[in-house]
Formats: sequence, C-alpha cells, structure tokens
Amino acid sequence: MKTRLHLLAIFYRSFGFYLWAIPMAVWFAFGRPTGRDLYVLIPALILFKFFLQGITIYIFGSRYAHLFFFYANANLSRRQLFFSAFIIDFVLFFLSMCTIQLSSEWIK
Amino acid sequence: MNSRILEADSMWLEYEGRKILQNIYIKLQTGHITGLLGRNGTGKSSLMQMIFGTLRGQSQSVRVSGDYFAYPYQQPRLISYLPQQAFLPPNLRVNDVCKLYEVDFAALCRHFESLEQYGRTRIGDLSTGNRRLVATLLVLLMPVAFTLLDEPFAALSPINIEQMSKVITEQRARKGILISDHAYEQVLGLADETYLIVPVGRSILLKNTLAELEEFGYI
Repeated sequence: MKTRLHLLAIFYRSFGFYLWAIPMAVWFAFGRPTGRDLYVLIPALILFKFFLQGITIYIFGSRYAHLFFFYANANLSRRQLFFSAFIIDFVLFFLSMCTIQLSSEWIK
Repeated sequence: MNSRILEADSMWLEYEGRKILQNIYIKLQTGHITGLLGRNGTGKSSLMQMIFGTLRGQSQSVRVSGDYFAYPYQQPRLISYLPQQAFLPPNLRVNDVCKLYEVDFAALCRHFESLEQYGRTRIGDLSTGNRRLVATLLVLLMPVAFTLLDEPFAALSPINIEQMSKVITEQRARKGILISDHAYEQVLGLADETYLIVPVGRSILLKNTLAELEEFGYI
C-alpha cells in the first residue's frame, strides 16, 4: 500500500503543480470571490479543471506513453493512475481554497 | 520452486485492417528461457505488450497455470516487462526505483560493480548505456514469476552483454523469461526453446533452429 501511494505521488507530482496552479490563478484573476460569488464560479472552475485534466491525459498518452510501463511494472494501470491523481488534485485544490479563505479572514 | 506455465493463446492484432499477429500461441515456463525472434516489424514488441496486458488486440488469452488473466501486469508478483524505450522517470534516484520495484540495490551492484557509485544518482543523469543497464537489471531482478525482455542487449557494450547473459541465466532458476533481441546468436545461446514470428504474424516453434531461421529468411 505504501509503495502504491508513493507511486501515485510520483505520478501526480509530474503534472500536479500545473493542474493546481492554473485554476488557482483563474480564481485569483476573478478577484478571489467567496461566499455566494464563489458558488457561481465553482461549476466553471470544476469544468475548467476537467478540461485541464483532459489535456493532461492527451499529452501523457501521446508524448510520455512509455512512462506508463514504469507504473505497469508496479501493477498500476493508466486508469488507476489518472483516477487517483485527479481525485488528489480536486481535494488539494479545494483544500487550498479553504485554507486561503480562512487565513485571509483570520488576518482581517 | 513450483513450476508455473504461462500460455498466450489466440493472440490476434490488426492495425487499421493490416494484420500484425494472427492466432499466435506461445508458452513460457518458470525455469525456462524462451527466445522470440523475427524480422523488424513482425510484431514481437506488440506481442510482448499483449502478454503483459498493456496492449489489447482483436483477441487474446493469457493463462497462468490454467487461470485466465485479462490484465496480467495488474497481478502482484506475476509479470514484469522491459520495453525498448527508456521508461524510468528521469527525476527518480536509482536507489528509490530499486525500493519501489522491491529490488535490492546491492544485488544490482553484485552483478555490475560499476553501478555502485550511482545509488544516489538520478536516472536522467545516467548515461544511455547505464540507464538501459539499470532498467534491464531492475526488470530482471523483480520478484515476479515471468519476465519479458524486449531487446535487453541494446545499448550495452560487449562485456556488459556477456555479463547480462550470465544474470539472465542465473534468473532462469527463479522465473520464466521471454527474450527478444536482434543479437540472435546471444538469444539462441540462452534460450531453451525459440519461437520465430514470420510474416504475416504467425509463430513457429523452432526445432532445427539455424536451418529454419535460414529457411524463413531471418538469417
């Protein structure tokens, strides 16, 4: 289990920053809305993240397909990798939003 | 060691209507090295990937001691595969990859002393030859029942090919090995039995090896 988590972390690290940072930048670009304003923006942010995840799958599948053999030798399939990585991505993204929001309120 | 048999049966692969593999049958057995030869483009690598489970053809059946596996690579400790391309993430250190693959780094160094200095080196900082050497050793030394080696001698110097042949022979006692390489004399020297893939995508178990290789235009 520890090895699988380590492998998933390696996989997520290879593109995770961009998946996290780009929607975060979009949220900031819209003035970091909160409360009711954020509820309006969230569906768009989720759709945008799906779009970025689709691009990630495409780029990985076309340019880095050989790297999947590294994970396959450790019994992990592409589907398992992407599914787990995208769940981690959503959790990290919304945790980051909550943390930033709470810390800014706390500073006030 | 209990003997296990892997049978790849009815392996059929077509790309855009072009037949690559037709109804191939191959048998691997623990304690045996099986050679796989064929001219360029006859589908050897595709066949290996179908056996491994990462490539789906029009039909395929992989059974291990009678049990069918749709995706053999997802079974713990069943099968490992060395592809032709560099597949280890360049940012990982050799030591870390060893741990992830349950291979003792000391075991790598026991076979190739020159690797001792590279434990903390990132894969991407190794030379092409050493990267291939590390990848081949890792796949070969993994604790699995079957190992598929696609061109394990590529990018290795003659002395390293000699040493790698010894490692492959040593590992035969622990697992079944399928080996494909254009260094056919090396393959024939190692293999207990050899299959030849002939156009268009049929497999022949060679009996009178050299004569049949000539007959089918491989040499």
